Amino acid sequence: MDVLAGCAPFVRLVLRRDRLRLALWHGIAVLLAVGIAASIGATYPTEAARAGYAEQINSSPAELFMIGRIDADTVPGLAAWRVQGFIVLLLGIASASTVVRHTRAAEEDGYREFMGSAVVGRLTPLTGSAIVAVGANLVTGAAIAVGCTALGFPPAGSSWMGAQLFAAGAFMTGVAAVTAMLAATSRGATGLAVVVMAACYVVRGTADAARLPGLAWASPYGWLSSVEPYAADDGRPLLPALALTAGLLAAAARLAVRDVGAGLLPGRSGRPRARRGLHGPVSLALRLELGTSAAWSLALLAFGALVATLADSTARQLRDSGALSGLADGPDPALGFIALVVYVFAQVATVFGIQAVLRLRGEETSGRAENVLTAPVSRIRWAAGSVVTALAGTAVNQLAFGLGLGLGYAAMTGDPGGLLLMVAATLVELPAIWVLTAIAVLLHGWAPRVAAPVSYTVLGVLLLLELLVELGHLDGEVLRISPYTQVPQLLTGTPELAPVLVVTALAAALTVGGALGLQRRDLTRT
Amino acid sequence: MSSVVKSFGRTRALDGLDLQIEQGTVHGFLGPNGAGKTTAIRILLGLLRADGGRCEVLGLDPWEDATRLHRKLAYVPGDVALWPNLTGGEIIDLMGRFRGGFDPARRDALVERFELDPSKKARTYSKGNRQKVGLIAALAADAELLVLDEPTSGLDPLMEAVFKQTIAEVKRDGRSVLLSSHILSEVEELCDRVSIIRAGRVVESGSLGELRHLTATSVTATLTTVPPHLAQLPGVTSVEVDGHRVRLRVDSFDAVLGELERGGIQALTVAPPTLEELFMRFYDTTPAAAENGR
Repeated sequence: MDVLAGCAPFVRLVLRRDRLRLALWHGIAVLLAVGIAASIGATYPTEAARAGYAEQINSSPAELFMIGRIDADTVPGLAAWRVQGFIVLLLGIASASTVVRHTRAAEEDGYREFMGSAVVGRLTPLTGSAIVAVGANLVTGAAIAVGCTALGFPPAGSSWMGAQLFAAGAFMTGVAAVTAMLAATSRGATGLAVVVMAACYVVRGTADAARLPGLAWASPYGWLSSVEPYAADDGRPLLPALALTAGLLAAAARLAVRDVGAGLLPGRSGRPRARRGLHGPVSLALRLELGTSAAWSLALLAFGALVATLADSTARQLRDSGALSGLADGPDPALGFIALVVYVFAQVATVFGIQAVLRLRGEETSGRAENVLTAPVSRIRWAAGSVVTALAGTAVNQLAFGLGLGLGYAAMTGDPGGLLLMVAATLVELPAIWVLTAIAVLLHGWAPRVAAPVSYTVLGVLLLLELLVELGHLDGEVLRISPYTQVPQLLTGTPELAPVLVVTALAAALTVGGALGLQRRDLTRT
Repeated sequence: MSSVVKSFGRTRALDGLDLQIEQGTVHGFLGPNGAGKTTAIRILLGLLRADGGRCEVLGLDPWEDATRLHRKLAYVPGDVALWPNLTGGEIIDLMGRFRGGFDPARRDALVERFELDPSKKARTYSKGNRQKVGLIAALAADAELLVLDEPTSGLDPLMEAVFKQTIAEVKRDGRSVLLSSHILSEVEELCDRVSIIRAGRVVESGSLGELRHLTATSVTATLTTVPPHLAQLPGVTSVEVDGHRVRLRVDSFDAVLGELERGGIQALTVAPPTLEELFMRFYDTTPAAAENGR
C-alpha cells in the first residue's frame, strides 16, 4: 500500500515528538478520573447522603446541562457521573490537537514537505496520527477501567466507563481528522473541531436539562451517556459512536487525496490596504491580541455566569463535605464561594496578561520586532503596545467575568443589586494582576531569555502556595507575599483604598524598571 | 564606523571594523557567512550596542538617536518576518504609517512593479513574496539611506531585475544604499564601492576596479622557446610550464612582457581576474590564500 508507506516509522516519530505531551494530557485525564472516583466514597459516606445528592443534581437544570444525569446513587454511580463532563472534553481536545499537529500543522510548518522527500505515503500522516490518538485514548480508557476496578468498583461497570471515555476521545479523533483536511490552517482546523465538539456537547446538555431524551440521540455525547456505567451497563450505544468514528476517519482519508498544503475551505483573503485604525504599535498589538482576548472574555463571562448559578448548590455541597468546608463559610455561603472563585480566577486570568507581554519576546526572536524598531518607533513605544494591550485586555476580561457572575447571581437570587458588587469585586483584583504582568515586563527588559519561564513560575508558585494553605499544610501568613491577598476582597471583606494604591504603584514601578532595562540591552534573536 | 568591536559571550563578532559609505553611492558589503555582516548592520540600526569604537550614521549615533535616525533610513533584512494573520498590503501600510505616512501612489506603483498580491495573508506568502513586502515597504519610504541585508534572497530573476532597476533609480535620486549581497552580478551592476569583511574586520575596501588590481592577472602564452627563471621576474607570483605553453599569474607586466617577447610569442591571452576569482580569494579564510590575494 503505497499511500501508507512509512507508516510505522511515522508513528514512532509522532510518539517520540509527543511523548511528553501525550503523557501529560492523558496522564492527567487518568489521574483526575481515578482521583475523583476515589474521593467520592469519603465525601458521601452514607446512602442517604448519596441519594440526597443525586436527587439534588437530577433536579438542577444547570448540573444536568453541564454534566448530565446521575444514573445510580451508589458510590461508583456518583463517580461515573462526576468524571463525565470534564474528562470527556479533556480527551476530546487532546485527541484533536494530536491529529491536527501532525497533519495540518505539519503541512503549514513545511515539515510535511521535508518528510515527503523520504518515502511517506499520501495517507501516512493522517493514518499515523489517528493511530496514535486512538491508541492514546485506548490506553487512557483501559487505565481508568483498571484504576476504578482497583478501587473496588464493579469490574463490568469500570470497563464500560473506560470504553465510554475511550469512545469520546476516538470520536474527536475522527472529527479532527476531517477538519484537518477541510481547513487550510492548523488554527482553523483545531477551531472547527472544537466548535463541533461544543455543538455536540450543547445538544446533549440541552437534551438532559430540558428532559428531551429524543434530542440526546442527535449527539454522540448523548449516545455515550446512555451507556450508564454501574447502572444500566449497556454497551450497545457505543456501537454507533464507534461506527461514526470509523466513518469520519474514512471520510478524512477520502479528503486526504489532495495537494499538500491545500484545504477544501479556501483560505480567506484579506484587505489589500490597512484600515485607518491600524497605524501604531498599540493598534498593532491590540489587533494581534484581539482574538485571544475575546476568547478569554467570552470564556470568563460564561464561566462567571455558570459559577454564580451553581454557587448555592456548590456551597452547600462543600459545607457537607467536611474536608473542604472552610472554603464556603460565613453568613452567606454562596457569596463566600463566589468570592473564592473571584480570588483564584484573578490568578488564572493573569495568564492572559503575562502572555500578551511575552508576545514582545516572540516578536523579537521572530525578527518581526525589527520591522517596527527600524522604523522611527522607539523601543518604549514598541513595548508600550503590548503592555497597554495586556493591561487593557486583563481589565476587559475581569469586567466580563464580573458581568457573568453578576448576571448569573441576579438570575439566581432575583437581586440585580449584586451585579455592580460583582463587577467591582473582579475589577479590584486588577492591580494584583498587573503586578504579575509587570514582573513579566521587568524580566523582558533585563533578562529576556528567562522572562517566560520565570514569569509563569512566579504565578504557579503563588497558586501552589494557595493550594497548600487551603489544604492546611502551610500557615496562611505565607500568602501575605501574594499581591492577590493584598487587594481587598469586596464580596466578603471591606473596601480599602490604600492597599489598592500601593499594589498599583508597585506594578507601575516594575513596569518602569522593565522599560529602563529594555533601553539598555541588545535586541537578540536567540 | 571606525574600530567597532562587538562580542557575544566569548565570540568576537566584530574585531575593529572600519566602514565608510559615501553619500549618494551604492556600497557593497561582502563577506563569507558568519563574517559579521549582519552584526555590523544591526549595530548601524541601533538594535545592538557596540562594545567599543565609534559609529555615526547620517550624522547621528545609532544607539543614542535610534528613533531620529530611523526617520532617515529604511531597512530590509535577509529574511523578512511578517505577522502571519495580516495581509501584505496591511503590513506595507502599517510600516508606512510607523514612518508618519507615505505616498500612496508610490506604494501602488511598487506593488504593481513587484507583482505582489497585497490581499493575501502573510502566512501564505512564499519566501520571495515576503522579501517583496519588505522591499516595497522600504522603497516606499522616503529614506536617505537604504540598508539592505541580502534583500533579494528568494526573488526570481525577473524580480531581481526589477530590484536592480529600482536601486539604480534610488541612486539617481542621490540616496545612498548599503547592500549586503552574495549575488555577484548584483554587486557588479549596482555597487560603486565594495567592502569585504572577514572574521569581523574589513579586509579590503574600494571600487571593483581597484579590487581587481589587487588580484593577479593571468597570462597564458605559447612561446618558441620558454625562457628559464620566469618565476624570478619581478611581478610574477606563479608559473606553470606545459611544453611550449606557460601560464603565469602576474601583478605587474613591465618585466614579464619583454621576457616573453624574447621567447618568441606565438599566441598570448591576458585575462583580468573574474569577480568570482576575486571573491574566492578574499573569502578564503586560510591566511596563505589571503596573502596570495594581495
